Amino acid sequence: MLKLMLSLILLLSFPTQEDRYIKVRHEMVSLQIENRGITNKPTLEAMKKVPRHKFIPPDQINSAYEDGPIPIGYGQTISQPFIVAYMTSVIDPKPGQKVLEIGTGSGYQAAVLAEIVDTVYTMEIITELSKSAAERLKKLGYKNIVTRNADGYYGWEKSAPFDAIVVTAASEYIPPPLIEQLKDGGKMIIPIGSPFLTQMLVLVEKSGEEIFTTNIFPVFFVPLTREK
Amino acid sequence: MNQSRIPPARLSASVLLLSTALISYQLLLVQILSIVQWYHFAYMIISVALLGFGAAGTFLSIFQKRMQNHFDSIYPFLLAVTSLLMAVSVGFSQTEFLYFDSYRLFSDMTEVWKIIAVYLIFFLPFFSGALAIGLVFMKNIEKIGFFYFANMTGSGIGGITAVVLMWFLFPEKLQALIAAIVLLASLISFSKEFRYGITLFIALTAAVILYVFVNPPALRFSEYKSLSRTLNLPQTKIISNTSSPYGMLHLVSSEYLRYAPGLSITYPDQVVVNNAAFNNGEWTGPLIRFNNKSVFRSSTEYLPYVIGKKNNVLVLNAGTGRHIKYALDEGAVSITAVEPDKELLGLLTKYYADMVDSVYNHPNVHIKNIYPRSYLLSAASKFDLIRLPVIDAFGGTSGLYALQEQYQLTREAFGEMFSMLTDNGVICISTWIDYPYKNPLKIIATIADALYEKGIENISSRTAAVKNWNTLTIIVKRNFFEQTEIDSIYSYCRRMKFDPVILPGIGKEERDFYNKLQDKSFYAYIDQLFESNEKREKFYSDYLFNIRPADDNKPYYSQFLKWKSISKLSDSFGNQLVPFFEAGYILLYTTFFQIIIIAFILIILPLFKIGWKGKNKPRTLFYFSGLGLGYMFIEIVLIQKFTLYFGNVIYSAAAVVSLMLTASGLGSLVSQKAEVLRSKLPWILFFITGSLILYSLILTPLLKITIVLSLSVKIVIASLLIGPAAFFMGMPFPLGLRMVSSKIESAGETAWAWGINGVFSVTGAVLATVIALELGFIWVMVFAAAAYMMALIANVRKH
Repeated sequence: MLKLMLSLILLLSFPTQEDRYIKVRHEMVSLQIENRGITNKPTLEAMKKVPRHKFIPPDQINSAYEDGPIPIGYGQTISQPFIVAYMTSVIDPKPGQKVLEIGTGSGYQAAVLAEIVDTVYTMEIITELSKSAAERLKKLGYKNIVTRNADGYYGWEKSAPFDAIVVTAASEYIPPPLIEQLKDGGKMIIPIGSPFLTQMLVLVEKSGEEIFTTNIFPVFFVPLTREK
Repeated sequence: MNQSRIPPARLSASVLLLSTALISYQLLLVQILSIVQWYHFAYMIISVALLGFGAAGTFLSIFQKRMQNHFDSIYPFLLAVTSLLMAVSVGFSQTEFLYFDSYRLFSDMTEVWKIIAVYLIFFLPFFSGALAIGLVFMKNIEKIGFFYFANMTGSGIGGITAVVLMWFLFPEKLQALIAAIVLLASLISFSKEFRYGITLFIALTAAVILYVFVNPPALRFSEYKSLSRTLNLPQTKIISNTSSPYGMLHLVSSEYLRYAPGLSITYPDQVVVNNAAFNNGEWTGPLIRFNNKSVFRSSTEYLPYVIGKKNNVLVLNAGTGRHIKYALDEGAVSITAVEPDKELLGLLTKYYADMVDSVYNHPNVHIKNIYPRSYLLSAASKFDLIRLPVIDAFGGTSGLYALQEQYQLTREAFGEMFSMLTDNGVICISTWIDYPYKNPLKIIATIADALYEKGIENISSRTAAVKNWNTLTIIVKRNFFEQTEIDSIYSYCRRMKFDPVILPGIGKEERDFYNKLQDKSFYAYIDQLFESNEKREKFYSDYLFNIRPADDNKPYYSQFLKWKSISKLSDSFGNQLVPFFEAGYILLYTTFFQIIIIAFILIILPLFKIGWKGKNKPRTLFYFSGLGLGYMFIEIVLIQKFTLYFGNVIYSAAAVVSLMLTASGLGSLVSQKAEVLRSKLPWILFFITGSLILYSLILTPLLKITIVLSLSVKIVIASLLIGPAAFFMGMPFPLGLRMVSSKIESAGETAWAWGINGVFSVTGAVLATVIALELGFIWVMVFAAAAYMMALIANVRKH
């Protein structure tokens, strides 16, 4: 009996693997995100909650919370935590909103957005990635994310307009359909530049008939695709 | 020591064949590694692998006696081993276990172990091959001039052989052919000492070579290369794959690629680009087949046409012909298209002409297959528009391209372009607006400096620039802008929602209205660059990045890094992003320090065997290191200078290397035969030093004056310039080795001397690039002269 109690105490007092991930995740938010000036509370809470390590290939899991992107296959990467946080915070996400994401990848960005807004529509052109992301998000219990395996260039016309659009794939220019599908007063964040090297993160704001852009900072994303 | 039974003529022939193969293999590996990785990683790997030569010297200095006693069996065996290693190395490096992705090197430290393994794989054939050559030298030290001639001549032939063969064979097949050359060398060194074991080994090697030729290993592109990423897209396939000394060219058909730099946000329609070209896995350009007029007219690149029609157009680095097409669409009556890549031109004028709407075959288009800068130096025509290619990819002209010579973006080049404009002609260049700001500022600085040097006043009144969210297009006009032209540009900007950034009379708010920059200091920087020469100099000194224009002495436009800025950059952008800003530059220094460390070990290690004492040793070290450094320095400078001269980097490199090595080989042969030269060594070194000092003074102006002459005359001039000095440069090494061998206390010192030369030759190749980058090519020549001076002093003091 004593042995059993001792074993239970030991078991309960030693941190589990999940506990360790939570700790590391909170440290990631504190050191990599808050320290770099991101103060948007919903974003910080979402980043603390979403288990980034569950979106990483098993052989890379030790790097899940490091300050950098991680390859996920097919020449794609899951973005650096800071970039995910920045792209989330800059569109000023709120409950009740509808957000479009282009480039599902692992599904991590969609999961972060889904912690804040009402619905996330996310599109991925590479079938294998789209499928695996959909399965992963379902397993993790995300019911407010709608995935689609399709060409993101055309956006998601049926569900438009969107309060915000987050594009995680590079383009040389802002796809006109996405501008169309952005609400008046809405914000789009998109990496613009040559698709095969570094790009500039650009914030696009729609105000009536006018479209204004603001260059933010350099990033590196994989190319956006579109159909003929 | 017993005499070799291999007849000297056959031994010499085998050295010639082996040398041919080693140089060919080196060039092939650079090609293959540039294809599967990136050029500067290829450079890094090969530079380290070449230390096989130095390691061979170290090995020989320790085991020379034993190896010489069994020369007749060891030598052909070494050749056979070299042959086998050449045949299988590339295949091994592409296996799952050993394949490394250089893109992940900066973010995944486990890749480091793989790169070390790859170093070793490619090091081994150079080590065993160099060991064989070194053994021949040591065994036949009294006839070294004869064998050094074979070595140098073979090396010279190797340079040409590789280039020629690359036209006919894919690189993965070529390795087998090169391995076969070494195997032939092994067979012709057959003697009665040939054991059954060696014979069997040779037969096995032959079987492996045949297998590799018939089933070459598949080359794995990095998954982060443009081509790899593109091939991940649905309905995307390779429609053509060709190989040449220019690289591996892929034409890709896809329903998902489009290219429209500088496009207006008001453009409502589709941008259709089906196909694209990739060279060595990197994006080269779109293949535009359909009418794309509306896209072009909605981009910042349309700026030169906003102010008027352009009848006579020059397109530099025409590539896939995009700007030729636009010029034709805008009614140009004469278009000169300069494109150095012969392979690409061949495809787009013949088999795949329809993929670019046959623009290159249009009667109004005149093709010049020449280096762009060489065209600028030799042409006499005037143009209404000189169109440079987009300074492509945000950050992409730094990063891995930081070490690329870009003679068309130097201050002198812009000066020449300006002189080639008609009265209302313009130069047009587009660039991505990177951050931190580098490319746009450097281009503007280059324009300002170039015009200032020509005594042009009011530079800003001849310059206009417009931007969208991240592309800036700049035009420089021969004369001042007319008010109607300024009005046209304003009107165009309002329609397209572009912001005019440089324009006479522009207001502050107008520059940052539709497309805002978060950091607005960009505009102040531009104003400072135009204000005066003094303000520009101050800006160059104060700014975080190197914005000083490239010039012909230091033509590294994309080199932006200042060492003093690294810690600030690291704080701002994190350690992982900084390498992508300046990866090429960082790789160069990484390579250099690796080589220094290994070289130090290779030079010090033999001293434990041959002894540390003896006053000859420092002199031996300085003498042979001076020769190794000096030769490589001058070779690299000459390749650079003659690339512009002949207008083709590949042929120039092959010609210079072959000419130098062959002339040096002849010098070596003469030094063998003419005993009197032994006592004249100081004078020979003095002559070489003097020639190099003369080169540093007269070479550049002489080449500039004669560049307009015909090719055959230029070849004669090149031979006269390179030949005599190279001839004498072939003498000090064999003469020196014979002197060392005649005075030694220890048998290993001769091999040690040879190894020093090998180590410093490799070091010299990398060090030359470092010096060129930091100080310019003139200083490389000065250092070459200094290296020979060092050898001279070491030799004179010996006497």
